[in-house]
Amino acid sequence: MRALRATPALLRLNLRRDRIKLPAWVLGIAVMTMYFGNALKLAYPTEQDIANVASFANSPAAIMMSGPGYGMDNPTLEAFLANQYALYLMVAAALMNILLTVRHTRLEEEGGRTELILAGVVGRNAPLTAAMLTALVANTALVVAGTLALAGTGFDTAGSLLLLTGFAALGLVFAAITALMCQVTEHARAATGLAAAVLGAAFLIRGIGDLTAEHGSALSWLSPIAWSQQTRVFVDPRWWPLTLSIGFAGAALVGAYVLVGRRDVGAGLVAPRLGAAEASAALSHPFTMALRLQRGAIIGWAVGLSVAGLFYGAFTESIADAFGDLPDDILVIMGGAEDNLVDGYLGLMGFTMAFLVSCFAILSVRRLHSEEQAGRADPVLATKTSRAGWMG
Amino acid sequence: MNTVIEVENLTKTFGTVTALDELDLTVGRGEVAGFLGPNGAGKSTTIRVLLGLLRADAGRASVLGLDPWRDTVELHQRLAYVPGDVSLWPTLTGGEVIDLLCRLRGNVDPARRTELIDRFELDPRKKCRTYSKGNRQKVALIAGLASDVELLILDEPTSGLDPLMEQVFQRCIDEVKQQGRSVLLSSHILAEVEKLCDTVTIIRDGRAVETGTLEQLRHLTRSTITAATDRDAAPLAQLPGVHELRIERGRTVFEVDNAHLDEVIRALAEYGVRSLESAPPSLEELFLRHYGDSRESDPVGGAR
Repeated sequence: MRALRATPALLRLNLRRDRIKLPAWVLGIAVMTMYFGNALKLAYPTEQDIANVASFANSPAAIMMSGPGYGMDNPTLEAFLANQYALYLMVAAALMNILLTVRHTRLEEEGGRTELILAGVVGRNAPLTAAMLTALVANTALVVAGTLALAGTGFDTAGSLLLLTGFAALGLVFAAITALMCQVTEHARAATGLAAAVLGAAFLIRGIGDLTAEHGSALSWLSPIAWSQQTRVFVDPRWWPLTLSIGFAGAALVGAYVLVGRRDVGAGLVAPRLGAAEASAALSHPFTMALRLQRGAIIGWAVGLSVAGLFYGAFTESIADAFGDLPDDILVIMGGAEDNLVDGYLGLMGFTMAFLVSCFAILSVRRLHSEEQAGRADPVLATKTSRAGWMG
Repeated sequence: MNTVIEVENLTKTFGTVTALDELDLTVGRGEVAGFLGPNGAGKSTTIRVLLGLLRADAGRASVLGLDPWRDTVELHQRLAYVPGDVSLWPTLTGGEVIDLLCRLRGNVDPARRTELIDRFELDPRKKCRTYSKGNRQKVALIAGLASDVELLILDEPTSGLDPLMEQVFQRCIDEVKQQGRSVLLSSHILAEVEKLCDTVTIIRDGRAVETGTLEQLRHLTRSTITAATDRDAAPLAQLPGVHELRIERGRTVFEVDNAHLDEVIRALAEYGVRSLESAPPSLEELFLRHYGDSRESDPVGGAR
């Protein structure tokens, strides 16, 4: 227990630092859940409306972007919410946990603040434990706030609780995965990237798994996202898939603790290599500087999007076949006529890709802000580089 | 001797880089020990091993009789640490951080906290985001000095402080010394080390190249002799232990290894000495001798 000394004090510190950020995340996800539920009520007031739109949910492209399709043959509003929209809220919950865990472990360590903390009477495992307890507090708050919001607007209380617990369970899985990633690399940004890549892979795996069989195949069950979706919430509820989430989170966490106990403070598993002694000739302009600084991110996104593109391409044929049976109003979105279905599908996927590329663009431009915050903009702007020129 | 820090053959590598190469270091109880070395010599690495933040690859380190890696928590109840590059939580105020760090350590004297904030002229209500480097350094110093511990480990604690605050710091260390507490002070400011420290260890490339009291170190190196003589004393340059003999404004100036001082002074007397000045080596000269590659070849030998 020595190794956990001062954990309560660190937990209080984390909550104090996050007193704006965490409530914003938790309330944001809870309110979005409630909003989706109520927007659906307004948009599809009758059972028939839902049945019409749910037929779209059985198409392969929609399955990729939704869930395993429980209750979609005779859909209720609740089941439709759980199948179609829960995925995005789960991703949001996972992101909250990834960012939270990195913020309270590796980012602190990279900044040298963990060294200051650990020089006190503080156990070696206390910072990680405090971060995980912070995640537990946030996810518990999410369950409470989300369930109250959803049940408060007329959704089944037990179902709402299961749905939100599913979000929180996925959140805890990603808190633990991120804790593990934070031991592997010594850079907070890289740890975030690794955890986000795992989230992307989990998204893709459950999509492919759910495509290959109704209500998900064995492949789906390899993805933590599936565990939260396989609760069949609002249809034929079962709690046990969430024990997989908790078990997996526990195992990942044990791995993280083993590594924390063995490694140096500030170091990762991957030892840093020596780099170039001189800047290449290309590194002479704010634009090439930005390219160099974001090299890893650019490569990562390019590989990720290429894999996604390959995947979308490989399924074009079978998906176009399945679209033949769609109602007319969906056909309009997908190209207007049966002959145009492939074009329409690829157009839609192009749109999805454009959306993802925009995410990268936003993250990339945000670096301007973080560079300025960290004081790294000052020395650059003190050269002949103008403010506008610095933006590349 | 009763020691608080004992390091023997300490080795630490990062990948292919050897940061510490069989380092030896001893700090006695009640001593203020200076820890000198050029950038990248391994000072901070040593300190982080002593704090149990890094695990050594080989060798033995003992602090207050405890193993820093195994008994980290017990050890930290009895020491305080101030890093040289202080990073704080941008959204917390300086006062909040001081209290946090003090509470994490325990043994805090609240009156002393107030007194130190006063002496270092820190405004504890400002957010850390707005602090300059010097002010962040003050926060860590106040938190470290406010605790009642046996050993202070300070890693370049005055970097970023203005000369006035440096004086305040030096007075604080004097008080610590009078209370019989021990200090390991890594520093680049030689005047500060000369003023504060009882013993000095100079490290280079992860090895201790020189260690002992300032007096011992001075004895082992050279004095600068300036003499006016009746006859030209240039032939002295032939004697063993005489270096860089030159004539400046009609006076003979040379450096002499302290081990040869006696013979050289006797020889000098033969030339009819009219005036004689002898300057002991400053710490700066000691330092430069061990840092500058060109003069590395001089065998100086281990002290003590």
